Amino acid sequence: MGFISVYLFLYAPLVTIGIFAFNDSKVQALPWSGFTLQWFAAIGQDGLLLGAVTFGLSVSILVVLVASVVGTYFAVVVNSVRGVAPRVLLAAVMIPAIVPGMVLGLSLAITFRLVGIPAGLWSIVIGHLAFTVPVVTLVVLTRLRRLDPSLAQASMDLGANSWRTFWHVTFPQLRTAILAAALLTMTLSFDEVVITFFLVGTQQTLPLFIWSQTRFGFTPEINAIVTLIGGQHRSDRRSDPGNRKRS
Amino acid sequence: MQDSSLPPPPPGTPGGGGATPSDAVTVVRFDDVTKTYNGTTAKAVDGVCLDIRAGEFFSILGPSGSGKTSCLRMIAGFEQPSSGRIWLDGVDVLGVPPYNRDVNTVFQNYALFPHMSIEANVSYPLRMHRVAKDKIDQRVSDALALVEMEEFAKRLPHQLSGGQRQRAALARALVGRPKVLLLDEPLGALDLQLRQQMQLALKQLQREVGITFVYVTHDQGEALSMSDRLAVMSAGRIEQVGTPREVYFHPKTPFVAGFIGKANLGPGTVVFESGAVVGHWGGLSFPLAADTPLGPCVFSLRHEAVSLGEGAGDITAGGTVEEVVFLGDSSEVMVAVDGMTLVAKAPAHIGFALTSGQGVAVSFKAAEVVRVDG
Repeated sequence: MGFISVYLFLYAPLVTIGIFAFNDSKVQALPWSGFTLQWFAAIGQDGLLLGAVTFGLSVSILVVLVASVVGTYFAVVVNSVRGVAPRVLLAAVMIPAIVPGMVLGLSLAITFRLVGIPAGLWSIVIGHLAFTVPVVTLVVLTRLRRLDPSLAQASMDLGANSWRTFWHVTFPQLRTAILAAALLTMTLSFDEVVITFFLVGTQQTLPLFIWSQTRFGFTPEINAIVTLIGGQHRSDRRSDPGNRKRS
Repeated sequence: MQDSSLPPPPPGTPGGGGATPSDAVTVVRFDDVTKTYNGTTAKAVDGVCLDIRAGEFFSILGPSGSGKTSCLRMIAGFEQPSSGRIWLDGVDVLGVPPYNRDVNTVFQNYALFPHMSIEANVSYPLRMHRVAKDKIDQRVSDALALVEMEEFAKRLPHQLSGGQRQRAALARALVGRPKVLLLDEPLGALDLQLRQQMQLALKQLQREVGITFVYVTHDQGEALSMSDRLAVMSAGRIEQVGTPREVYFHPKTPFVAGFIGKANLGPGTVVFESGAVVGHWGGLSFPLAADTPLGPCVFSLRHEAVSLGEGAGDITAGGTVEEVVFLGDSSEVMVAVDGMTLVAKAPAHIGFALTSGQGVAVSFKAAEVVRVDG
């Protein structure tokens, strides 16, 4: 019984919000007053909500693109050096991911003000990169370290220099790991609140918008969008191909 | 990449002796090469000098840890010598990266690219060397035909058996027609029957393409059956270089005598007595060639050179059977002779007839005894 109650505790809130997204009533309370899809339809009418979704997506897509490239590059560099250097390099990359979001957000906000980067799209993108690049680095590095080193050597032996070896031999074997890291980055970036809170300008991202809406009373529309996003993320994870087994 | 602190090339031509790098028939030359890996003090390769001739099947034979693979990796360019020089086709290749060396390697695990078809694997070196597209197809199918793999061109490596992958790796390494083909224990992962087939196939292939093969193995059978010449390595040093026959019948060191085939080894002396050179080994005395150096030494006598019973050789001694070991096609009979033990290789049915403690005569030809540390 205890076992089931843990699951109840974990899932009851999620189920609740899902149920109210289809409840035909402005009041968030039982009894059930009928099935409706009007709250989902209302998302399309709400300019502010759509603005927050579009802005949040722009941030996350930029973050995914940059973090995938930079993180992969870091992983390759860390993997190619010998001795104590890789441990030092990796630790230095990982620190922003470990530091509490509050500290990272505040220090970035202060720094941006000093340097003159305005609060807005780019400040949030840079802030998100600080903790997503380490994630990509770690995921790709884990895969890199499992690659057979004789494959890269064989490539060099057969006449390909380091760059062509990476492009023709190493990268194709990293693709699934990079894709997995990109999906993870998308998830992390899209619903990040703490760091974003310190760096946001006039345009809010979706989670910040929802949070600010709740102060004026929770509309069922929010239930609908949260249900959509929750479902979306679940299918993301299911389609995550992970690492293909090496033959 | 990691070896940025290479020592400067030694002035002049150290250890040059009579031979010069321009020597036309030498395709690989080791000139006093030593390799110490970072973080270790032991020398993996210790003062190796070696000439490998164009077109020969050359084996480097040694137990694991003898430095044979390090030698191969230095020819390929994956490792740089700590000191000394390596010449490839008359060119000092110090610091030349693997992709600028005209040698290709067949790796022990084949190292076929798992995401490419066999065809794409084999065309890879040609694409990297920017060979014209219309020529690539022809050369790839020629290379696959050479190893009888045409029908598997479209397969991925994991869809092939070990022996097929082996042949695909050979085709990939040969398609670029390198000056030297390096083979790192390529038969190690195959079962016994396939190994024997591949030994024969490899030797035929080498004759057909005429490329110099440098073959690293710990299996003396492979080295003896395939090589034109071989080098025996131990603890980073070369013990002996020669043809399989020279190395087998005239081992120069106790290590070679013990590592190749099975031999009786023991301390003895060579003396000059009443006008002849004579060897004393335990209680045995036997004449030796007049040019044998005098003094204390180690004698080697192959198991199969010792016969049971009198008359098979010019030296006969009486002894007692200590033990008989059945090997299937033959038996090893250990016989105590004058305070030492000689092992004789005998046909299995003779071994069955013997019991421990039984008196038996052993005989051998004096000419079969080799002084190995001279």
